[in-house]
Amino acid sequence: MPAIYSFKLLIKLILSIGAFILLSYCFHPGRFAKNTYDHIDIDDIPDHLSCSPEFSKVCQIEQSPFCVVLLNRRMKKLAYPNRDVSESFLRNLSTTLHINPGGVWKPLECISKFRVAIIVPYRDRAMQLNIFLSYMHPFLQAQMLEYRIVIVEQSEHLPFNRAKLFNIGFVETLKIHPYHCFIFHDVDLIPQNTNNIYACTHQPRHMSSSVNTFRYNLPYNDLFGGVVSMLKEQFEDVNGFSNAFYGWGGEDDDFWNRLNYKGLQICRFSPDVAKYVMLSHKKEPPSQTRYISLKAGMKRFESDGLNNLNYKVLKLEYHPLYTRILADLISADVPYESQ
Amino acid sequence: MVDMKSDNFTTVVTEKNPLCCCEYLNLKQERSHILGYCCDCQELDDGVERLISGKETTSKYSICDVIKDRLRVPWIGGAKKIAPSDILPVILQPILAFVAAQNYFLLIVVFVIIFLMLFNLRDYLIKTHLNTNFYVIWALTSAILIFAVFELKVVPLLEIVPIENVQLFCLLGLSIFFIYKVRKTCLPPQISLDDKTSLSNCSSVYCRICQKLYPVRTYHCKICRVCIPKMDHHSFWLGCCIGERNHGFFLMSLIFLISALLYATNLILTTICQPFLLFNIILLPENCSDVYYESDLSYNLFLSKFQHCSMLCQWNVLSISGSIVAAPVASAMLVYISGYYKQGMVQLQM
Repeated sequence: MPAIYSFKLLIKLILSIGAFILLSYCFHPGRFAKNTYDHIDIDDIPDHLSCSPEFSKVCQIEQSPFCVVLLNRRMKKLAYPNRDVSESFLRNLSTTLHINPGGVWKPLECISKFRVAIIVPYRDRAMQLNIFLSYMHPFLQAQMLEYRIVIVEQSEHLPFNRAKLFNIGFVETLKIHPYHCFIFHDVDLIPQNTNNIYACTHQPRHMSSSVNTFRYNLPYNDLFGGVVSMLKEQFEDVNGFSNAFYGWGGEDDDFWNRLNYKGLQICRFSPDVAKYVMLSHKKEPPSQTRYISLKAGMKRFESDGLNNLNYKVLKLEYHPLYTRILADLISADVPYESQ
Repeated sequence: MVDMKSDNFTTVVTEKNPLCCCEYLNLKQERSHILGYCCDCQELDDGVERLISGKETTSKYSICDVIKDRLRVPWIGGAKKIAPSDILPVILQPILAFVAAQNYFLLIVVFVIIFLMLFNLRDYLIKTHLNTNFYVIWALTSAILIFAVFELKVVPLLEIVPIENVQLFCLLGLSIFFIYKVRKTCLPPQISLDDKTSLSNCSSVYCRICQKLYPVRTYHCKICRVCIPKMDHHSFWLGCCIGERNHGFFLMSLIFLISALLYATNLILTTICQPFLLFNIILLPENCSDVYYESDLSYNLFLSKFQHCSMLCQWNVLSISGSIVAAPVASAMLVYISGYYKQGMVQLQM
């Protein structure tokens, strides 16, 4: 029965081709996250840190009167935030930790070579903000940094625009004090390892490369969202974030493209050091905007960003634990077409 | 018209004219095609006529018989007949998973229903359908479902590392391999020990059903209708007897299947829930409360984005329920291995 035999052969062929396609789909490397990537080892961290301009000549000196970058190489236990913070505890925090109005602190017994502004966009998440503030102040003080926490709040109308709030926070903070290092921080991310130094490296740094909601893996190599640190000059060089991303997602990938366009390389700390825990459980599919080609965005990099920033500051308040900027976005921004 | 067609068709299957994969011989030994499922409704006509007139009709077969006979899948050398209880799991499982994906209350309800159903159906099936493949198909469907959900819905969230995928693949592959081996070595070799010379009288037992002598610890299985040396039990999940020949394979398949299911469940749950690190090494799910509602996404979402997200959440829950569907398989196997259920086994006389 040759007909039956050839038929069986055909079935076998189809099945094996199907199995091959299935296997190559299942094991395609592009579908997976990473747990190893190029990073700065914990021992090399002090060499990579960038000091404030006035200390640039003495940046490598690690003795008094300057503060020492404390690294605990044996640290194994991860820190977790205390999730129920009472109002009275928060009220007393500024006096117990000697924080100046506006969420400003500097070490008393030594001079910090790092002056850092932490910009946090915010809307309507009081619970998370309380946890964030009660955790971050002791965390930053343990690292002997001179810092300020700036909460940039968006007024009620218009959808949330994280990227534009970063730009506003950057511009307004520079009016208060000439910080040289900026950390763009989400309110729901909490660093778990004290070795994750909150100062700028010479290259822009993706700080939250190992978040618990991503199973402590890096979803893709071009991810540059969550917590990001940058020098003032670099941020001005790339013309800040795009103002056009309302709602969720895409702005970090666009920012990555801007860095790429200007030829800026990013760096990360090792997965052990860069561990973060996320307070909210928002789950979104990885945004497709990361596939926007560099060419399509390139036209906007020069025209959309810090140089066309359009907003109105409604309130500038110095709260005990943070500087609050309430901003009203004036929407003249041309939004990206949804992909 | 119909008669003419059946006349034109050669009713005899010859070497020159074998059945194609979609053809079969029906109850009257006529050649039929799968696509003709709703054609040639002689039995339906007769049934309706009988209902109206109340007279006996000439047709040999009832409507049910014909429907059962026509339920077939394409197969090499003619379409294969499948029992209605065999396709039940394939339909039932996705429906149950979808219902469970709606909210937390329904998840609990479905979970309880599945458990009660699987254990009560067993007693019913032992009495009526001894040779059913219901449990085999159920196990297979849940394995395929969990794998599909993992590959199509969980991996694209970009949180799984390649090595974890490979590990899961290997575990599943090994368990399937050992289940295959168990089923291959199901029945005992045909050389029964009936020659009385080789067995002394005190170390042998006589089976009245097979009318043969066997070594001790042999049991007769009502379902397989054979005597199995050193029989442990008849496994409904694998659809075969566990005895002397496949005991080792059975144990291995249990170990690999349970570890594969637990691993898949852990991977899925740590991806869609909030995980935490136990002893800085093991990642375990901590908080899955947000899977069912999207109130956390209270930021002003664009409508399309929102719909996309809610779709995603639905599918995430489906994956949970998928793993829960698979979980009874593992637990039931654990119960079975303890030898608690020994139904279907006939004690032989010494």
